[in-house]
Amino acid sequence: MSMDVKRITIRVPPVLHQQLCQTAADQSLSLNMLTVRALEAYIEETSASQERLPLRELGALLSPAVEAAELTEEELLHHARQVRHRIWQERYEKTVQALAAQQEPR
Amino acid sequence: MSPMRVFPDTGVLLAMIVFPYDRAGALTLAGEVLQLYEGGAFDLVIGQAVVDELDEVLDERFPRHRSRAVSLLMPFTDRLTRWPTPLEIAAALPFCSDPSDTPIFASAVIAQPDIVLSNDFRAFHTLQAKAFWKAYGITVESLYGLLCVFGRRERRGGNGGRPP
Repeated sequence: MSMDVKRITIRVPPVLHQQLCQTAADQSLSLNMLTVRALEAYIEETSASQERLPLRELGALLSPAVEAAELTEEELLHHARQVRHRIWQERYEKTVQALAAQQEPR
Repeated sequence: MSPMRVFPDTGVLLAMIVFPYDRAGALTLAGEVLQLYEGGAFDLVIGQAVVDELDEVLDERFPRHRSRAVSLLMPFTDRLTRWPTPLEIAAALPFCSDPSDTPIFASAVIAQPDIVLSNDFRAFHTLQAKAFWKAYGITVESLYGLLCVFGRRERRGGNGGRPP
């Protein structure tokens, strides 16, 4: 069975070439295999970072519930504002105010 | 060139998710911004502090849908920026008209975005707040202002980015 492969030629600085050879030797890989793995990892990382957050899917899930509850945008944002106040009071207020008081010039 | 990094406040994130269209079916400003995002015009960088608020809103308003919503966001959790420390939050205190916004201000600084996106003019667009963003090399924009950045609207002077 023959593997379907394409050949590419790349030019690299001598230092990088040396580092690639050393890393390949350390990992008992051929220089070709190491380079393929590095390129695959790069492509995977790049495509993952380009993935969009599923905002439409979240909307499809939540919009009917918002509509059923007859919630307006203003009401929902007001609620989010209340949540922010509560989180501040419950999690942060005491500690942060104490720190701020310490930092004030005497 | 990398796309611009935009940090949304919880309010605009909710508007983009739930209100991309108005009752008449017309695209809202949030809907237009969502389209730009989906088209790859910019990246959203989201902080844990914003997700915490979103989660609480879901829990209280839409408890039946919360687990599904959380599972949709789960693959992206490693991309969320960390919670701010109390010290980082305290540093934002002098610049916030409402102290409850300080965790979000500090969270935005951690995310190192190009733009903070918020339609809360009384909190995020005050002179004090703008001085804070400027100190970190961040610009603050409203939904309308972000559309101006991408040439979808024209900036009108002196209205702080509000729609004319």
